[in-house]
Amino acid sequence: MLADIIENAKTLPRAWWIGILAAVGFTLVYAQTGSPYYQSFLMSLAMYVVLCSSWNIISGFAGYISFGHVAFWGLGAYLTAILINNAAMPWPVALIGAGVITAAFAALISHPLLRLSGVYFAIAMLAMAEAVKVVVSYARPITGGGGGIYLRPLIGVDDAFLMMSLLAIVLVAMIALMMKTRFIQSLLAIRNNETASDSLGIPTARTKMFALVTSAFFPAIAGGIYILNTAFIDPKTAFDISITINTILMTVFGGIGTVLGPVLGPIAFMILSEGLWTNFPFVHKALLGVIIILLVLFLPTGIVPAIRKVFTGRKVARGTP
Amino acid sequence: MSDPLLSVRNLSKRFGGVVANDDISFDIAAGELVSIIGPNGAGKSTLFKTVCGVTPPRSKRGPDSGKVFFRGRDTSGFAAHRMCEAGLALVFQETEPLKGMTALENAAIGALVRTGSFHEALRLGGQALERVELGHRADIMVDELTLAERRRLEIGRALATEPVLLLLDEAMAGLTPTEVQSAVALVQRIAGDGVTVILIEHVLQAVMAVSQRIIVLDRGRKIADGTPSDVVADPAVITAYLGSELSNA
Ligand SMILES: Nc1ncnc2c1ncn2[C@@H]1O[C@H](COP(=O)(O)OP(=O)(O)OP(=O)(O)O)[C@@H](O)[C@H]1O
Ligand SMILES: [Mg+2]
Repeated sequence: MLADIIENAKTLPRAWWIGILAAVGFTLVYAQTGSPYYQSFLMSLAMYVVLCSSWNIISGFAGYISFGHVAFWGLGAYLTAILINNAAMPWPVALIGAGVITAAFAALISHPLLRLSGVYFAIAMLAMAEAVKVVVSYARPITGGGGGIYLRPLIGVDDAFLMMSLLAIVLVAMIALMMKTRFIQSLLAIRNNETASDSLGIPTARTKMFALVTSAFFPAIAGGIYILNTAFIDPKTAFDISITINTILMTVFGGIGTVLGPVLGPIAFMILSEGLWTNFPFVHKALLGVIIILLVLFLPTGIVPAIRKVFTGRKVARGTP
Repeated sequence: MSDPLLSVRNLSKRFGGVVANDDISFDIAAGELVSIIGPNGAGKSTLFKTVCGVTPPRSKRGPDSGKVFFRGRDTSGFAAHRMCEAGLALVFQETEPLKGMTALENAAIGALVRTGSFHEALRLGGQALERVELGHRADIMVDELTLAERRRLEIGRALATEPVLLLLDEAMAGLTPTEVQSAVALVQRIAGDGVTVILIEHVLQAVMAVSQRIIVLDRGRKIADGTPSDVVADPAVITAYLGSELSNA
């Protein structure tokens, strides 16, 4: 794995390195100088890049479409708060702890759930997210129940933006460097044909479990950063299915199964929706709907594959970042 | 005689009411080149899949009863990826290359079982493509390959897993006579490299040309097992074939 990553780093196009450095530089500067309004907007954007890129691992690369992704984000938020409030952990430790526990939870559910495929897996993940929501709503002594959980405000929007943005950059860079590794190539093979992959020696159950675990860890950290800043979350927000729907829409919009799709998708989507909201406050949702329908009709594979097609004149293998 | 490479003992496999494999036993020695023939629905593919651990349902992928020994180990019910690790490769009758990938990437997926590095797998996959004479098509997307090339790619991908035993399920179906000839030559080359090969084949011309031994299945049972000339003269085989294939051939 490491040898592959080093090799991939050597061959990653220079534009990628420039992009990563520019994003890090911008984040560091803007966290000091930006206006809270735009920092907050960019934090949401970075959060969706994390949600989309992580969803893309299990659903884009491995082909297991999940309708329960918000559960990992919500769990991360709750666990961070619980570890701070009840276990008196310093917040950085709580944040990592929440990520690890959520990842362990994903490992636990992967065995029964990843035996299902197609629409059954999608529905099972949806049910899982609803079940987690119900449990959190009823575990009042620890979670505060339906009334939500409070935290003393620990970081400002500037720091939340900084952390969320760096998390997104690390995740996207990591995926770009991992495209040509055994892990992601095995996922692509599984998406293509799981039985064939199995007979070619890919331990499919283990590989899918690792995919779900990775796919759960990053949104959990994002959820933790979110609550460190907002200092409050309730089950309705933490397990809001529209977060999952947005994640899926943005990723498909950008290009499912690509590295940059889950980055460009949220950027295009959020700028569009923000622009529509300020200019057409009463009909922005309807306009957004129309635009989504048009895009699905005219760019069914998303932005990234379409751009690539323009440049290369043909479809490109899924393995290319 | 030394231990057989593959030993199938009283293997049975049912799908609901259908007995796809009924009490089948045979041994394959290292270095043999054996063909399995039989009418449609005789249970040939099921036999391969059960030996490899890919028959549905996944919770019960091995034989319903009976045992499979591979390289001296009881491997009944092993998952397919463990069989592959152990040195068994299967080219499916119905499988297709992995779409959206190049020929080389397809072969590299096979090589991943032998190396943790994808870059090393690409190198090994390249060698496997050379073995099936597809080196010049390495960077072509699989969707653009011809049927004959796709078949050879599947064999190359299986070879990339470095098998000691290769199972080919109708790898020549649908090929032109010239293509069959070169496929036969390929199989002989693979066998010459020391890989033990079992073919399921309907193309009798190919079967007679390459096999040292033929096993005949009919309605789930083994009805004959011997040299090509013995098998074609066997009354049971003639009856089984007259009942189906030869009558409409
Ligand atoms: N997954 C399955 N579920 C139910 N029945 C099956 C399944 N696979 C095979 N069968 C049945 O088992 C029997 C044997 O099928 P199999 O595919 O092994 O035959 P075959 O000898 O390979 O035939 P062909 O020459 O047509 O490929 C058939 O009656 C088939 O319908
Ligand atoms: Mg068959």
